[in-house]
Amino acid sequence: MTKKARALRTRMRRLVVALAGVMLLVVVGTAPAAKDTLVIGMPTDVPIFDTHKATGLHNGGILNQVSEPLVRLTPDGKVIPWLVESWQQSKDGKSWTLTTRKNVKFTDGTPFNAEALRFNLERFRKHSIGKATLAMVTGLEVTGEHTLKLTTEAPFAPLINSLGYHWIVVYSPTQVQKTGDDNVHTAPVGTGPFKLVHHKRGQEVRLEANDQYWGGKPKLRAIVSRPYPDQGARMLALESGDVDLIFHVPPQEAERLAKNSNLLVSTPSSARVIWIYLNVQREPFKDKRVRQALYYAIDREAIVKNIFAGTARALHSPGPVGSNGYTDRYDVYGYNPERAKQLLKEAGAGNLTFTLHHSPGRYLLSGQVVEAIQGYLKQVGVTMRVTDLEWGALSQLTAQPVDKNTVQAVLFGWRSVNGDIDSAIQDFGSGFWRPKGNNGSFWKSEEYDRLLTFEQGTLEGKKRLEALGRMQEILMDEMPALWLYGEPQIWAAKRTLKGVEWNPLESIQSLHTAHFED
Amino acid sequence: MLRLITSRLATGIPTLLAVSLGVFAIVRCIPGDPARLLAGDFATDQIVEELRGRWHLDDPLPVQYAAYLGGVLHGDLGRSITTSAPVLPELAERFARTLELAVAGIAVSALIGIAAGIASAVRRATVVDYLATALALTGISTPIFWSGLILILLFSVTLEWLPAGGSGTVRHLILPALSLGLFGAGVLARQTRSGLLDVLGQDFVRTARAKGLPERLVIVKHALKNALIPVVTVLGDQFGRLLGGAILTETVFSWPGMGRYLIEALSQRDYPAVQGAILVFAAAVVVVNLLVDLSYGALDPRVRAE
Repeated sequence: MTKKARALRTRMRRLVVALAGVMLLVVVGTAPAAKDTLVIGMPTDVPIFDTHKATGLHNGGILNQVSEPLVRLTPDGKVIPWLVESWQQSKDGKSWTLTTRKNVKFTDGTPFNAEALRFNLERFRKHSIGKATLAMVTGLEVTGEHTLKLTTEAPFAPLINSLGYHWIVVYSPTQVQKTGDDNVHTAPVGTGPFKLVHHKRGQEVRLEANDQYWGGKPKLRAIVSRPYPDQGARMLALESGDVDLIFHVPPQEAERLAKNSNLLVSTPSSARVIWIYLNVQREPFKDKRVRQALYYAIDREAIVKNIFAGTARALHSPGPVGSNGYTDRYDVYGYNPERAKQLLKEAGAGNLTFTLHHSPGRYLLSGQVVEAIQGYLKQVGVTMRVTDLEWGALSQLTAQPVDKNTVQAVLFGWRSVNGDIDSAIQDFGSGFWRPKGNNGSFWKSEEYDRLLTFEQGTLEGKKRLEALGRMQEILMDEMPALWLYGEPQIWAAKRTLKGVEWNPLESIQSLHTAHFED
Repeated sequence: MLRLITSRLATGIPTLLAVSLGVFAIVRCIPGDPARLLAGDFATDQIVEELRGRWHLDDPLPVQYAAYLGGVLHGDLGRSITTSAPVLPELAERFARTLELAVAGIAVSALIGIAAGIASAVRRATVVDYLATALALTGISTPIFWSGLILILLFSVTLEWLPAGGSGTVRHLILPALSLGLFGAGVLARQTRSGLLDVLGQDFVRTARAKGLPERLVIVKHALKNALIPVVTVLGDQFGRLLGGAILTETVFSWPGMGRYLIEALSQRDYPAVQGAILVFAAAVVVVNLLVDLSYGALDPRVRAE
């Protein structure tokens, strides 16, 4: 080969290498993610960008960055004033004066005031599937630029907690009129720290900072939320750096992610509790000793430790741990298979067999929980058969009224929507039997009903707490359901992400102070 | 040709009508009430009733079907029960994404599958054949939810070359298309191999060889063209199915296609969304089948003559 040919060949080689390099850069080159954009990986897409019409609570945290709630709930059950700055209950307890925060504007310039609040509360009461939260409200009257009088049928003590339900938010009335009531989701305008740029269904939601935000200019410039329905893919997206924050980390994986020095795993309390309704109108659960025996036979702590890797919380009362009014004082049970056998013997319930209805995939790891319970019950001579039904079919079956309801036991998840134990246990009132309410136990106690009416109406905080305590005592003795555990909500994020706070309703609080640290 | 297209399209209309009626009936036979599902765990009976009224689920079934069909004829597939948004624009967007993924997936399948099949048939009972067969079987038997995650682990987490999921750019398309394509390639490789082996034993191939044609020409021009008809049938079938959405691939790669849409709609008993998605899917299958039939003519003049 001549010198010239060799030089040509070398040049060609260099050209090929350079071209390959350029192609590689074009194909795989990734620009470093700007650290003022937060990318969130959620299990599902936002169903519709109109909170009053939305159905998925887990995306409430994204929706709430645009349209804010009236007050905020913290994981330890506290209420923080937000768009409603203060409140006062009348002497007869039947009306509340809500004072709205001043100098707040919607992002279209419309002022937020008492009239805007009234408009939105009416809209929520008209459309939302969660409107039962405000079913007790009978009147809304604007009494001043910033004051709204809210009247209830009877005194309702946890009203302010209920206003923290994060679907009760405000949209600009001007914009609602402009888009039309059915199309608010196409261009929602709220008071929040972020504004909607676009919602590409199934792909992403993009928000940009609202620099006029009443709480100060947000530190982040943009938020992107993308659905990653596969939990494995969701975790890999975090590990690869595609996203900065993910929700619904499987408990077994939380430990592994926590070992990654770039990531931080958070397990704030969730308001969701899991229990098994026992139909007390049917055998074998007519005898309360049988119901108590089952509770003695199940090791709740072991379920939490082994199935949830310690991230869930065993229940010692029928409400979320830490909710207002919660007490574990009346849990006398503990894991005691011998006592369970003794009670079953006393009740004459030898060789007991019953069927549990369960919807696989509806609640976190519930399949494993059901298997564990089967094992525990087997040890005390009880055979629990399991009928797995898809959720749609199961909800139809369990919604039957008492005379047609043949379900003996069903695994069910319940969430206190307002951080107060009342919303978790009110359904054990006899007025809430299926299908009117969710009481699938068909259990009734006159004393309990009286206490329920009293605690919801009383203005005396101390007496109310006493009543809630007595109600829990009755439930723990009567055991119309087996209270198992509070589900964990597990989030994982890049360690550099700061200023994110959690909501017990499985969502994130306002992200106006969230930012990345170098 | 024109007659074939017209007659196939004409038979497509009753097919689609039958599909619309079938789906309408079947989704209503699935246990589970959309109003109760939408209302959630905490809803009272009154709210469930209200929702039923709002979505006309209380109307007699013939009235509901007539309203639905009337809408379809006016290009309106109704509003989704779950999101309240019109079904058609969302389906259009989803279908475009699905088409994108299906074309890319089929291209990968065809490229790898047909090449491996030819190599396997031509080098029958050699290391190449065994290797291609092993690869084909691996492709067929590897579940996508596993191969997909391995691809993400390798190309997104370890090498950091490609995004772990999502859509919008060509880079987002590479991994799902590869995952989908590798699965389909296995089937195609087997089909091409057996088709080609059949043809290679026939007289006209011997004649071609006897004429002294180069082997490459014998394989590509004579044998392969004849062996391709069943391969095209398989390709068409795969493509048709992919248009319905590759549910697992879409889930693993967070791809916003028809499959995920349909699954989510089904779990919520979102009747208008399910009906719309299946109708679009059925229409796509009718069109693909027509295209496959037309391609037979292009590949084999005898079919054209018939």
